[in-house]
Amino acid sequence: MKRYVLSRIAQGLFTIWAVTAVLFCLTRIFGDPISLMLPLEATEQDRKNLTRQLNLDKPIPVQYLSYINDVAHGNFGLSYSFRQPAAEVILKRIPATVELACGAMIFSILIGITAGMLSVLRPRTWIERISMGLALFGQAAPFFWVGLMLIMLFSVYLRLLPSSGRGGLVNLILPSITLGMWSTAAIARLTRSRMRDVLSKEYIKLARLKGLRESIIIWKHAFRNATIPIITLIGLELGSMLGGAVVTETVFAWPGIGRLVIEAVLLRDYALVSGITIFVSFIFVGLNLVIDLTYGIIDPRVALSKHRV
Amino acid sequence: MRTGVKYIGVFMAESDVPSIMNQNTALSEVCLEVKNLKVLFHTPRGILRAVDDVSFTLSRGEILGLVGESGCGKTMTALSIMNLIPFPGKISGGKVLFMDKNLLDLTQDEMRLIRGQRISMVLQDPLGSFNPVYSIGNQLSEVVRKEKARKERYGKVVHALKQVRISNAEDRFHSYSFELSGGMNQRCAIAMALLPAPEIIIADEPTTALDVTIQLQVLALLKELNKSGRTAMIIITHDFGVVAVICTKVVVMYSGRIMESASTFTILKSPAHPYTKSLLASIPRIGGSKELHAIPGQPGASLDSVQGCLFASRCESVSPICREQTPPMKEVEKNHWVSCWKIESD
Amino acid sequence: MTLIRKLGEWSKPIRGKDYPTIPFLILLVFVVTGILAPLLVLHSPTQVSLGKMLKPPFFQKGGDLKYPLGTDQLGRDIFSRIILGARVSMIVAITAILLAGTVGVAVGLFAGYIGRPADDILMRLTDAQLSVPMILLAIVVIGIFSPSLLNVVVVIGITSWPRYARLARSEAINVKQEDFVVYAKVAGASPLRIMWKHILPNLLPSIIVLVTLDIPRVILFESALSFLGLGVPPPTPSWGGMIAEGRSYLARAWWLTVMPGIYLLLISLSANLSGDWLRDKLDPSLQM
Repeated sequence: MKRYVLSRIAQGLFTIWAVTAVLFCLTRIFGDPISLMLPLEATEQDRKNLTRQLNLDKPIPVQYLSYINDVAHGNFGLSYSFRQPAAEVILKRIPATVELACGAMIFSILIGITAGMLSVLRPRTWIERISMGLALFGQAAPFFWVGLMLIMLFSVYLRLLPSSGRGGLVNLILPSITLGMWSTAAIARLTRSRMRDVLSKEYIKLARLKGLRESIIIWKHAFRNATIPIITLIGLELGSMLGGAVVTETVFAWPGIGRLVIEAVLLRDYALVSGITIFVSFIFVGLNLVIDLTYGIIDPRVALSKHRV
Repeated sequence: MRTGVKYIGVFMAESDVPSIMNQNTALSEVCLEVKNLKVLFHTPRGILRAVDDVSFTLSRGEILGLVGESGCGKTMTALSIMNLIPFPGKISGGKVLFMDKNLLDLTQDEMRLIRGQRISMVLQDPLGSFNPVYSIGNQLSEVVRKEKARKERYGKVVHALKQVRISNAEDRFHSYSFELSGGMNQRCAIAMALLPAPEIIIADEPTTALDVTIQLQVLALLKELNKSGRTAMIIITHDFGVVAVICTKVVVMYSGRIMESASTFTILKSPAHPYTKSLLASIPRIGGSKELHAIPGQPGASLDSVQGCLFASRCESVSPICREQTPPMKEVEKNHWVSCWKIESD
Repeated sequence: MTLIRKLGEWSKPIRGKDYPTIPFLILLVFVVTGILAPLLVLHSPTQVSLGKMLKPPFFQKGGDLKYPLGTDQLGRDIFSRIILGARVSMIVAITAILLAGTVGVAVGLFAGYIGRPADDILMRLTDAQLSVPMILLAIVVIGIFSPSLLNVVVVIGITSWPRYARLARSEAINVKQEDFVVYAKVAGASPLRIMWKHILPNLLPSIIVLVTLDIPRVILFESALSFLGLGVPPPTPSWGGMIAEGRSYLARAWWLTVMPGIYLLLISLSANLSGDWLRDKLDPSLQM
């Protein structure tokens, strides 16, 4: 078990390193931060000063090492568009995205698992058709467009919900649904297929033959076995939500790091772009690690096996 | 001199057959009576007859062997007794009388009081019988869920594990199914079946997935449990060897229908139905003929529309009438019933 | 209740036919319009016509059959723009998937067949890339290199190849254990020949299924990028871009956003259903 944990952590660190390396190459080679930071009438001397100040005159390997060092200490450089350290800008906008992601995740888990379970418990009824139909819709529909349609319906025509901005719980509803749409569908589908797989197993048949109540069979025996991949999926979805948040925050003018990335990219604020990307990768990797470790608790087979296949 | 039948080295004397075989004595208490059971499966290809007009009785302390090849309806018969036929199957006729009550009339809630409590079942795959995320003890405790006190339940489970000769029963309570061998798992499954002291235990191919050496152990265990507790058993198998070792009487099924039924001794000594004869002849014997006897064709359930004797297409002694009309069950000797036109003409 | 059942039936095989007819038809129309786009437009999709701004679709008051789905804020015909947008989506989808598929399958096949240490290295790389959300990666790269059709294709290709690599690798590992591969090795065939002639053809069914399931994802991805302003640059119409432009007119002129979205939805649904059907047909046990 310990070896498993260590190897996963090593993998994660490698990933983050790879991300920093790629970003470093992209921004140093294709970016020209100096020109962006200087006003138009800057002289050659000003340029030289700034270059020296930002260590951009040193050879590339040295630059890279100092960059890695900075990142490890949480220093992502200076965001020229905000005139603040990039790290500060990011930290200030993170809570908004976290709130959105949580809202979307809660929505997906609740609706997704419910839909999946309903379709399994009531097969061949209209309930199943609707659940799976919604799952199909959630997966196939362009979620940003659905978000706009929701705004049109609930904000413009019905005037029930606000159309944009962060605020109270009401503001969270539409954006959560929009961001969570895809994950809801994925979770619903997976729940259904896993439950169907498990319910066809021999020990479920035997549980029925033992005269156990159907609810115990479904929840104690079947669901517990079905959840493991579902939990992995939830973890993965949380990560991909970080990507979907970019679009959702744009649609709903939500002040999170998703929108920040777009702004930074359009303004060519590379420090900020790199910072956000590294930060998000870090979260994503950390998330996957937690998911993998949770496996061991839920499935005793993993914990008790001496070696990892 | 002992008269008897030599069968794969297992010597069975007539005196070995329990006297419970005499149906008319007051000692034999019929606990299960299946009457004209019919199960149909509605598939896109047509209506399949999984179980067709099956009738038999089971008395206390008897071990009934339900024999036949794959797909002949033996498992479906067992599931019908428990009223757990999966979709798209349906029980379309007949009665299952348990202690004079028709189980098919009961509601699911009432049936749940019987399942696992008064009639329990052991399945073929020992490893698959247990949920891998819970301990064996946890799952055995489910069968004695009526006992509210945890300690009492634990005690009963450990006692049952000891009864099936599991060593270190106290520790094994907390083990998981994947930590145990196939034979041990099957013995735990048997413990689970016998824990609530049921009247009947149904075992569906209990030894098929086990090593040969373990098979005899498990069968011996079942025989012992039957003797000590007077638990009636139905052993579903395709192997006449299993039948010879523990069954007191046999029902031979083919394609959902009963072809022959008699005591084990009688069937081994003088099988009447061509199918039974073929099954017995198919088993290779040391010192027997050099050629392996096989039954041509494939077994399985047949469509509702098929007429006549269902074994006709594979029978060696088939005659025209076999394909047209279903032969009736005739008692050729005492408690020996056969459904075959050949018997009529003999 | 019957309406729901009806809707469900439209997505399933029609009586007598084995395949989901309506989704296939829709996809066929999509492909045809994509190819023949310039011939099918009613008006020039880029021509600005300020006199005809914001005309509603023909079934609403003030609408005109000449502009069946209405016009946008610059008087451009929505219908024609949608047709051209179909072409963009189609081109991006096909090229990006071709790119991702070729690279991904090559990498996966190689990794799966050769085994360690190449396998380890390549898989670390794919895992690393899968650890970063795709849209983010795309935004960063396009942001640095500025939007264009080529960049969009490349970026989507780059973000998509790991899935193909993973699939090709796991299938290759299965296939290389088959007897006919052993025979080929014994006969002296080179690894390259074995991979090309023996292993690759056996991967095709699952790759094809992945492609059909990937098409709707890529189409949506491209439209999301266009929506953000990072896709195909104007004046080339793209569905995502049209939706973005129509945002400001949500209250006044709903058709600007609704129309392209409906098409996007229809195509995506059809592609999904067709992909599901194909997967079930080829091998329902495929882990996708």
